[in-house]
This record gives sequence, C-alpha cells and structure tokens, in this order.
Amino acid sequence: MFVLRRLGSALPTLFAVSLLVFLFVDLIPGDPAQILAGPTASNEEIESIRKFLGLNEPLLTRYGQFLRGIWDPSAATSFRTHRPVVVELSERLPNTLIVSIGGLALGIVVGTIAGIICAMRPGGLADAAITVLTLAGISMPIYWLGLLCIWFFAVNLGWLPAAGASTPAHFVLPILVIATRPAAMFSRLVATSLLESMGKDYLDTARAKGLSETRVVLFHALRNSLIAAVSVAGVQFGGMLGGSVVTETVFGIPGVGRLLVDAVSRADYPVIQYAILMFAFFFVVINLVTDLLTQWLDPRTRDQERTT
Amino acid sequence: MSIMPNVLSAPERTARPDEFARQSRWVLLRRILSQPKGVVGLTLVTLYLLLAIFGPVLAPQDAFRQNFAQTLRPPSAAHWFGTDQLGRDVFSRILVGARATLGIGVGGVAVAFLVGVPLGVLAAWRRGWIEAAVMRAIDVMLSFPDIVFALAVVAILGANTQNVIIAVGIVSIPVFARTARAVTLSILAEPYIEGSIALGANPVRVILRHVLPNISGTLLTLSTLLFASTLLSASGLGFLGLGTQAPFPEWGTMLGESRSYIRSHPYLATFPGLFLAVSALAFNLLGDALRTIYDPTSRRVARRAPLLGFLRRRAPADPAPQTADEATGLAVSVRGLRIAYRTSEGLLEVVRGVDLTIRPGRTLAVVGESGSGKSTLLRAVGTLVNPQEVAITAGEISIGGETALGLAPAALRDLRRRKIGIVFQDAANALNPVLTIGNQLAEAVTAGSRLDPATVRQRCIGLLRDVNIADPERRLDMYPHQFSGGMKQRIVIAIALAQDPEVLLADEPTSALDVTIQQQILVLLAEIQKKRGMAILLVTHDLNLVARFADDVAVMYAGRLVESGDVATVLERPLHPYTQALRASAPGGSEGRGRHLRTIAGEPPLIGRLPSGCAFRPRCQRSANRAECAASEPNVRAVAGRDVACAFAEEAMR
Amino acid sequence: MRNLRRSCYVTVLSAGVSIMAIQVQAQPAGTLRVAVGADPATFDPAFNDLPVGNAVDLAVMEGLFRLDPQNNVQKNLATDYAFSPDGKVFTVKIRTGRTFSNGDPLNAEAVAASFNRMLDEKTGSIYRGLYASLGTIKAVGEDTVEFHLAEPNGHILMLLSNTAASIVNVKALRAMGAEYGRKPVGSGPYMVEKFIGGEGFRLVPNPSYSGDYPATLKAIDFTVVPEDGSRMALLETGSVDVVERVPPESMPAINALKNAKVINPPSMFSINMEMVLRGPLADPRVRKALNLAIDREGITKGILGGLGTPSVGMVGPGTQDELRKTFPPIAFDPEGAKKLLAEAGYKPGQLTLSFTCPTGRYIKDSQVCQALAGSFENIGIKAAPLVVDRGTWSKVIGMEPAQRTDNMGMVGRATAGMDYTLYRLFFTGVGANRTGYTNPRVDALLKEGRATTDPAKQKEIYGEIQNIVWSDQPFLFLWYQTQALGVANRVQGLAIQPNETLVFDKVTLK
Repeated sequence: MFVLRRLGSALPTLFAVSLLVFLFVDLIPGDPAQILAGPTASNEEIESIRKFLGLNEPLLTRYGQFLRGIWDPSAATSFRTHRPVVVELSERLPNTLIVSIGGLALGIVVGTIAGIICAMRPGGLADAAITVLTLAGISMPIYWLGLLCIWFFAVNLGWLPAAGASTPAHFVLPILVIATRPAAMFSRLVATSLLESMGKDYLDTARAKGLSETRVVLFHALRNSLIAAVSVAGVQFGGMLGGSVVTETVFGIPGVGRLLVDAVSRADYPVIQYAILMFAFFFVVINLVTDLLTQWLDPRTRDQERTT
Repeated sequence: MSIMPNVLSAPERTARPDEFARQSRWVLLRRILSQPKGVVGLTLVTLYLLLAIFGPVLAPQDAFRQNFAQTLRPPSAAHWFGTDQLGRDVFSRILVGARATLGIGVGGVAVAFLVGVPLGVLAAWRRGWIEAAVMRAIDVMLSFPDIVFALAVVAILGANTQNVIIAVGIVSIPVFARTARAVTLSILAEPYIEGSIALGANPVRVILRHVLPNISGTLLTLSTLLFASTLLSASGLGFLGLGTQAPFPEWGTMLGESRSYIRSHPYLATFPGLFLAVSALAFNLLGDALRTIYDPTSRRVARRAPLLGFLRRRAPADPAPQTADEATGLAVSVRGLRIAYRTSEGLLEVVRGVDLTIRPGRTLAVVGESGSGKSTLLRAVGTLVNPQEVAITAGEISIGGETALGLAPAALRDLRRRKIGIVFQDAANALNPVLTIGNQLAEAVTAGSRLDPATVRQRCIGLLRDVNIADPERRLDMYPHQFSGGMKQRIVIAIALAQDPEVLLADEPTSALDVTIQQQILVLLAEIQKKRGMAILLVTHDLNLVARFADDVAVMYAGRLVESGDVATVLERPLHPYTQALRASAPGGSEGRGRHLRTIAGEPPLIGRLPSGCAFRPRCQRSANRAECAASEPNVRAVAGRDVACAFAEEAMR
Repeated sequence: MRNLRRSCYVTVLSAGVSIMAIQVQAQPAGTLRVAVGADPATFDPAFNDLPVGNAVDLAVMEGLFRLDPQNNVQKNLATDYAFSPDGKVFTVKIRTGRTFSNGDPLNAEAVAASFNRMLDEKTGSIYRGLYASLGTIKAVGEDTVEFHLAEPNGHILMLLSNTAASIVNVKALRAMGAEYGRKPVGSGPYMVEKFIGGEGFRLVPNPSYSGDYPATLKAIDFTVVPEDGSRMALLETGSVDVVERVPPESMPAINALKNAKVINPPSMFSINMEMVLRGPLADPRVRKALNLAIDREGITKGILGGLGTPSVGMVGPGTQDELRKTFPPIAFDPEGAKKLLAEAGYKPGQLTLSFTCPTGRYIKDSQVCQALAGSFENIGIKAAPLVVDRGTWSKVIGMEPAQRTDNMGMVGRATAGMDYTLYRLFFTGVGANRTGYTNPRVDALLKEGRATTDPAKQKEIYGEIQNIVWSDQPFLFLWYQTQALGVANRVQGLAIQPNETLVFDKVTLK
C-alpha cells in the first residue's frame, strides 16, 4: 500500500523529469542530422536525414512520440544504431549496476568499519590516518585515481587486467576505484553520527546490562547511526550512476554512462533522453528503498507514516 | 547527487538559542584556532586566498607565453614546476590560475548558497504547497545525474568560467535547500521561536533575527565542505571538455589536460593536483573545525574499552578491599573517592573525597545543586564513567563486597550484570528507540547466560508484571516511542531489575515525569525494594522526595558530602548551613520542583575555581569572615548522630 | 611524401610478405587482438562513419572495387568495367557463383539491390549525398550491373572502391532489421561472430569465401577502450597485439617495450582552420599574413609530438595521389606577416579574430587552438579562441557563412576523392561550401573535371584548381595527420590505409 502510494506520488516527478529531459536535450547545441552527415554534407543532405529522423516534426508531436516510446520500444530507436533504445540500455545496464552496486557496497562496508574505528579511538593514529585517506579520497578526481590504479596494478604489478569487461577480474579495479568516494563519505558520516550517539543514555543502559563494549557499539549505537547513513547511501547511489560516466570511460567498461557520453557527443537524442529518464526512475526507486530501509531501521518513522 | 550531502543534516540536531549569533567573530576565530585542524585549515585557506589575490602579480613569468622549443621540461631553476606541452611555465600558470580555481569553488558554493538557502528557509517557513513545490523541484533536480546536469547547463549556456560556476553551483542547490529546510524546521520548532510567532512577530524579522543566525553555523560548515566537491565537479567538466576557456589556467583543467602525460611527464600533473588536493583539504579541515564548534555532539568523546583507561591510571586489580570487614555486608561502599574531568587545561576535580555506604534494603539519597558532582558520583558507582573524559584519581568503590575499580572488561561486565541496575532521569533517552522493548529486556535477561527463547520471554513478561505494566505479552513487541513517559520509566526499571541487582542506582528517576506518575514510580521502587531487599542510591535535588522515600541522606556540595546521616535526623535538624538553606528553600509540597534551590543566596561555586577554605564560605551567613572558615576545608566529623563538615556545626544546635 | 609512405609500409610488411607468399593457402591460425578507441555503433556501410567500421566492412564484405593500402583502386567483385560512349552509363561485370556468408547468391541483382537501398531516401543513409551521382542501378542478367548516371562522372571508380559501397545482403538486412548493423551478412573473408555493445566484437573466417583474400587468422578480437592511457596499458600488459591512436606522449613508452613498437603510417586526414571569407578575412593579404604567422614545424613537433607533417597542399596524401599536387611549405615569417597586416591597414591590436575549435575531436585540438592564439597575438592580432564541445563545434562549422559570428573554425577532412572534396568545398554556393569561397575559374574547372574520364586531362584540371586554392588561401593550412599504432612484434603483415582503415588481408602471427 505504502509502496504503491509512494510510486504514485513519484509519477508527477517523473513526468516533470521527462518534460525537462526532452526540452534539455533539444537545447543542447548540435544537430543530430548534421553530426551524422559529417562536415562535408550539403544542406539538402542534412535536411533529408533530419526528415528521416523525424526532427522536423513539431515539438509536441516529438514529445508525444517520446512518451510513446516508454511503453512501445519500437517507437524509440537510436539515431545511430536504429536499434530500440531499450535494447541498447538493457545490454549495458548490468555492467553499470555491477560497478555501481559493487562500488557502493564495498564503500559502505569499508567506510563503516573505518568510521567505527575513528569513533572508537578519536584522536588516535588510526583516526588520523583514516582522516587523511578520507580527505584524499574526497579530493582526488576519479579519472586520476583510475589511471594511477591501472598503471600500478595492471601495468606494474600485472595482477589485474587494465581495461575491458569480459571477465570478473575486469571489474575489480573499477569497483575499488569507485568505492573510494562512498568509503570516504561513510567513514566520516558513521564516525560523526556514532560520536553523536555515544553520549546517549541508552548505551549506558546497555552497558549496565553487562553487555560487551563491542556489542554496545555494534548493536545499539551503530544501528541508530545507520539511519542517517542510509539516506546518504541512497543519494550516493544516484551519484554513482552519474559517476559511472567517468569510470566507464577510463576502464573501457561498456555501461550506460559511456553510452550516455557517446550519445551526447553524437547528439543521439533518444539514447540521451531515455537514459536520463531511466536514471530518474532509478532515483525514485532508490528513494523508495531508502525510505523503506529507514522505516525498517527506525520504528518511529513507521508510525509517523501511519498517522499522516 | 553531490558528494557532501547529509553530513550535517543529521535529523535530530537540536538547535541552540542565539548563543553563537551574539558572539563576536573574534570569539569564533579563537574557537577555530583552539583546534589543531582549525589552525592548519585556516592558515591554508588564508594562504590560498592570498594566492588568489596576489598570484598573478607574483608569477615570475608570463603564464601565457608559449615556447615550442621548451615543451614538457622537467622542473628546473628557470621553471620551478617545469613547462607544459605548449612550453608555458607551470609555476606561473598555477599562481595565475589560483584566482579562477578558487573563484569557481567559492562562486559555485555562493550560487548554491544564495539560491538553495532562501528556497529551503521558504519551504520550512511557508510549508503547504510552497514546500511541496520546492521539495518536488529538488527531487527533479536530484533525479539527474549531477555531471549530466552540469554538462547540460554548460552545453546550453556555453563553456566559460562564469557558466562553469553557474553549472557547479546549480548542482549543489538541492544540498543547501534540503539542509536549510531541515535546520530551519528544527529551529522553528523551538519554544522561544514558536512563542514569538504566536505573539505575532513579523515573519521576516523572526527569520532575520532568529532563524538565520542559528542556521548560519551549519550552513557555513556545509559551504566549506562543499567547496572541495564543487572544485571536483568543475574538474570533471574539464575532463569532458567543458571546463574553463583555454588558454586561461585553472587547476582542475590543468590536471585534466595533463592526464595523458601521467606516466611520461608525471610532474605536469603533480603540481596542479597537489594544489587542488591541498585546497580541498584546507577547506575540509576548516569545515571540520567549524563543525566541532557549531555541533557540540561531534566533540563528544567515545568510550574506550575501559580496561585501557584503567590500566593507564592504576595498578591492575587489587582484590584487597574484600578483606576489610567493613566492606562485607554492605551493598555499596565508597571510600575517599576523588573524580576529575580531563580537560585541555588538565584535571578538574568534581568529586573531592567522598565516603559513603549503603546497606542492603536501604535507600540513600544524595541531594545537591546541579554541578555539585552527584551525578558523576552515581555514574562512578555504576562503573559507567567514561575513562577518556573522567579519571578516578583516588579512592575505592566496592559493590556487594567486590571492588569495582581496575577490573578487566569481562569482570567488569560481570559485575555490572550481577550487581548493578541503573535508572536514568529521562527514560526516553535510556531506551534504544530502534529496538523493541522485548528485545531490550531480553538482552538484559540473557546477558551472561544461555536461555531458550521461551524462558526468556516468560522472564521478560514477568519483569513487566513486576513493574505493573498491563498486558505485557503484547507490549513486548512495541517500541519505546509507543509508550508514555511513566511507562518508559517502568520499563527502564524492569531492565535494571532483570538480573536481580544488589544495588539500584537512580539518577533523578522522576524529575521528567508528572507529579502523579512520579508518585507511582516511587511507590513502585519502594515496593520492589521491599520485595527484593536491594539497596538504592537515589540522586535528586528534591528534599520532599528524600523525606518520603529515603532512609539515609547525603548532602553534596562542591564535590564533597557536607552532611550525611539518617533522614529523620538530618532533615529534622540540619547542622550544616547548606543543608539548612536547602531545607528552608524547599516548600512544603512537591510542586515547583527544580526551582527551590535557586532561592539560596549567592551563586553555586564553579568547579576549578573554588574559594580557599570552606567551599560554601562565600554563601554562608555563619562563616561571617571567620578565619577558620577561610583557613582550611572543614573535616567531616560526627556530630549529633550524623556526619557533618562544618567547623561550627554545633552552633546550629543552640 | 609518397616515398616516405611507401618505405614505411614496406618496413612493416617486409618480413611478412615473403612468408606470405608461401603461406597463401595455409589454414587460418592464431587470434589477433586489437584495442580501438572509438565505439562502432554499426557496421552497416550505409551508416558507419568510423575507421574501425571501415576495417570490419573491408574484412566482412566485398565491394565491386577496393583500395590497396596505397589507396590504389583494384578490382574486387568486378571483373571488368566500361563507360558508354556518352559517359552516362557505367557497366560492371562481376564474378559469378559467389554467395553471401548465409548462402544467398551474390549476383547482379543483389549488387543492384544493395546500391538502390543506400540511395533510397527512406533508408536515411548518411552517404546518400555522396553516392547520389550514381543515379539508378540495374541488374542485367546474372553478372552485369549498369549504373545510369545523371551526368558523366570521371570519379566513379573512386566512389565504388570506398567501403561505404560494400555490397550488403538486402534480403538478410530486411529480415534482421537494425541487428544487421552488428552482424552484417556479407561475402568477405571474415564474418562477425559476436558483438557486445561497447565492449568489443570478434571476427572469424567465413567458410564460404572464395575470393582472392582468404582469411589468415582464426579470429580477430576487437576491444573498445576510449581512454588513451588505459588502451596503451593493454598493449603494455600484452593483453592485445594492436592499439589504435597512440598519443604522442605514450610513443616512447611503447617503443621501449621489448615486444611491441609504434608504427607511423601516413594519414589523409588534413587539419585546417577554415576561414569565413567575410570582413577582414575577405582581404587576401590578411589571410596570407595569418598563414605566415604559424610555426607549423613547432606545432607538429612540439604539440603533436611528431604525429603530423606541415601541409604542403590542399588535399592530404593518399587521396588520389595521381591527381594530387604539392607545394613548398609555407614559411614561418611573423615579420612578413606583420608587414602584410600593415599593408592591409591594420595596426597592431586593431584586428580581433575569433576561432572555433573542438576539444577531443582531433589530436591535441584544444592545445593547438591555444598555440594558434599565441601566434596571432605575436603578429598583433587579438585572438579569441573558442574551444567548444563537439555538438557546438559541429553546429558552428555547419552554419552558412552569413550566419557565422566567428572568423574561422578548425576542421579535419579525410578527403573522399579529389572531385568530391574540391567540388563540395570550393564550388560557389554549394551546400558544403562553408567558407563562402567563390571563384568563377575554379567553378568552371570543377565542372569540367567532373565530366572528364581521361586521367591526363583530370591531372591537368585538378592541378590548376589546387594551384588556385593554394594561392587564394581560403584556409589557414595546418598539417596532415600521421597515424600512430602500437603493434606487437608477433604481428606480421598488418597494413593501414591512409584513411586509417586497418587491412587484415595478409596478417599472420609469429
């Protein structure tokens, strides 16, 4: 019930996104027909390609066509490959998801552990080391880190393949690299909110029961800290999908991000539009999942939901 | 969407009154500089700002002059940082580029701030459809991958520094709007703001006077933290070919351009990368320092595994106290206890030599003003002081005949489990909000033993019955927030009783409750005590409560027990002037709790700035400039059936 | 130039060719692994616009004619050809008994269908304009194809030998739809075994092939890696045998490898700043001054790291070398440039020129743009370089001259034949003439050259056109690109055409 209601309330957002995406893409400079035809094409040739692509139709007709493409794959084909955009996207989505989810999961695990260490021993050596690493992780452009890792792990040490996506080993480096940002984020976040809950009386209640310090931190303090962290994880996942643009280019992974960049540089409108719409839909779903997770973690929000 | 979103917007941040708004900026500066990371961060940020202002003047060479004969040279005396692929001096380009780089960071944050904050405040203030519209718009913005969003903005507007600033700024708007809304909402919910709104204050005025100053700290912190991610976004745009206009230098773009030289000419990337990373670091450090100032919870120090702290301070466990006859047969025995807070200025003593004992089945009440050290004493007895914050510098504590100091973690846990139960002032905080009551009870029941689930459940139900909670089976699956305050306190008591402790420590157990509920809880405690024969250590400032429920009383002032003994004896005829003042100020009934003590003349003493001699001297009418009072702290002596620490206690008997 | 190219080709091949002579009939052996930078979206010759796609089309399909690695036209499916006396019908005889890889017959009808499909407006081919001059195509019997041209065309062989004119199996294409672009059914020595979008694809021998270029490799594996550094790493770790587009700064690292070297075949890609002939640039003295202000040697050596040679003529090498004309290099003479500007009435600092460059489209494009700005400043011209993304760039350089707000734009052209290129760029008022260039003499010569089928006459006509254009300087002539590929030592017989197409005809692995 709740899920349905939430999805229903997301529809206007998705509608606004679809309209914005459509108009945005139209505003991006570059005429697909001209780019396809190349620099030596004459106006007449460009015109004929434009007609073929249906770019001369009125804006509203094209928007209608765009909306139709959402449920009718044959109405939405790439300008370049003429294949349905759905097919293009679904072919590449698994790679993007593997890298994004893998990176996020690894980042959360590493970040949470680092955050706990920081919170348990503030001011210690580990805290200082983690803080420096964290800041480095936040300050380093991802493409840089990627190139350095390829150079070190693939070329110098020869442990892992440099680029591509044909074996599971190919995904190790991208996941490691993409995990740095969420790991850095989470170690800070978890440390902050852990320290915040450290002063709470219920931890002393738990200690007075005779529980070990580890159990007190992991079972009582961390669980509360995670509530704040979950919402950030949701937002982060959206960011990871966006960040896949760069990672996939560096590591030669055929994913949606690279498809999108290629499409932008080639003005392949349908691919750009549906790819972004898909990202938006993911975001809505992620928000929902985040809310459900928060509800599961925090019983207080459940009742709020019930009363409103 | 962006990199730094909710670091600060922890949902339950409590807003503070205009405390900081009234402070001059020199105080803020001093507070920043009192932290090492603040010093480093602020110094670096200042250096960077100077670089941005004077960089172009300082550049030793023309940053735009190309020389194809001198391309890609390594660092040398002529070119400190080497030359780039067009033969330009990298050092000069970095100096000249400081302005554009920091401009993008600062400008981007400023754009996001100036658009996002008013939107967030507006949404929080107006609620209704405006809030819905703003939040929906933010949802839409967040739905776009940020780099794509920025890319579209730059692509539409055209690539130049100004548009890059706008693009990276727009990307960060949702973060500011969300944070501003969340913080504003929490401030608007403060009673004093609600009050002024109810009184019809001008909304603009309320926002300007009360809301903005209070949220400025959080937003300032967020701004510095976002700075780094803004620079990175701009650098990412440069990577995709939509950065600032060549040939104008900007660190992010320089870094992006040099990525293909990463191996052949590593220095080319090293210097812009270093400057970029250190600038991000500097702003992050400053942000951290600001956060520490504006968000006191982040300063809180965690608890170390207790053993380490104890080891550092004391010799390993010494079971000697058990041999002393006086310790046997006592539920609690405290001897010469001295406790100090660890502060940056050194140790600050809050408990200065306390002796007390409680026999099984008896209730000892410790009374005193806030700040007298009574709660610290209680936590020390409960073995719950945080060794990182608090040091036990001398004395002995034993619970049920076993020493409670210097124990290994396992022994300490065992002691806590078997012998100690604790009830806190605010039951809402004492229960974990995210776990069911059953869960939390079961945890207490099963600690240190293995029981099958059915037995555990039966025990939990039994405990709830003991504290007079109806329908316990159903209640087990409920969460703390579903109970009233009085019920929660009963549950806390049930948890404390789970392992049949020898001593129950109660820290103002009723002061957060209504008068009628207060009564019920106290009756309950008395009943349970009668049934189980345990000792109770009750900390309170309510003399009426003491008179009705305690067997013994100890009056605490400035870290010492100034008068202790049988309740009837002490309260009937207090001998210490402080006890007298306390009694005199307590009205007959129990209403108006918390206010009585203020009627005692003079200010409570500040820890660490105690007067010489008797600590109560400045407020004492009896001392009247007597030399004895100023000379030394009066010893505790037995006078008329109680212990009292006043050189002239006998005067009260006349 | 020609010698240089040939010598380069020879060094690559020298070892391989002699072995090849013996191995011609040998079984295909070994897997060649190639890493490319661009992501081919389709191999359908009607839509492919990438050199990788050309290479695949060349291996997977056959045209009536084909180009050898020196861009000389050779017969492929065609056995004989002839023009009608009025020059309006071009007849080609084709081999008989050939089939597509799926068994469909490759007869005259199939050839005609392939061309007519490309020229059909409903297909939306990006090459319809280029091939429109072929007119209508008819099959006569099993082995004869007739091209009914609208007007005589002396350049039809050039057009038909391009991979865009490869013969597709229209029947299979109808059945497969867009999927045909990934696994085209052709009649070449190889066929596409699998295609993973964005990741790579694999070619394997076509068992039914019976032409002159039988497959020598068991498989050719392509991997797509756009980022230069990552692609180079693949060669360095030995994961691939050939990498495309080696950036200049990586050449030393690859040459230092024990098992691979960089090869530098020439490219027909010619990069110029194409001027908008209006305002100050309508004055030939200003154009000349700009051309004198550029240090081409400095740019090609310093910025391009040797991956370019200064332009010495309008069209790049390998276009149609028999018609191509080269000139002495333009001197680097800033003083002379200043003088010319003064003659034209511009004091230092008076003239402002803006120019549009893409970023990431050509080797070091945005950096060259900065260098050009420096050169202009050097002779007292205020330079306003606009480095823009690809979409904006294509929009700007595709504008009518009258709409342009900038003064010139950087464009690279891989010339698809002398007639096509010169006609489109310099014939007055033609759609693709974006400079606004107009010269009645050139117009007349272009018309004449198009109709001429006599090679000697063509050489004379196009020689004169190139003379005029070179001295009119509607472009700021810059450089011809040089290709750079990293090739493992085990690879023998790899050839690269000037249009950057890899030719696998004779590749073997040691």
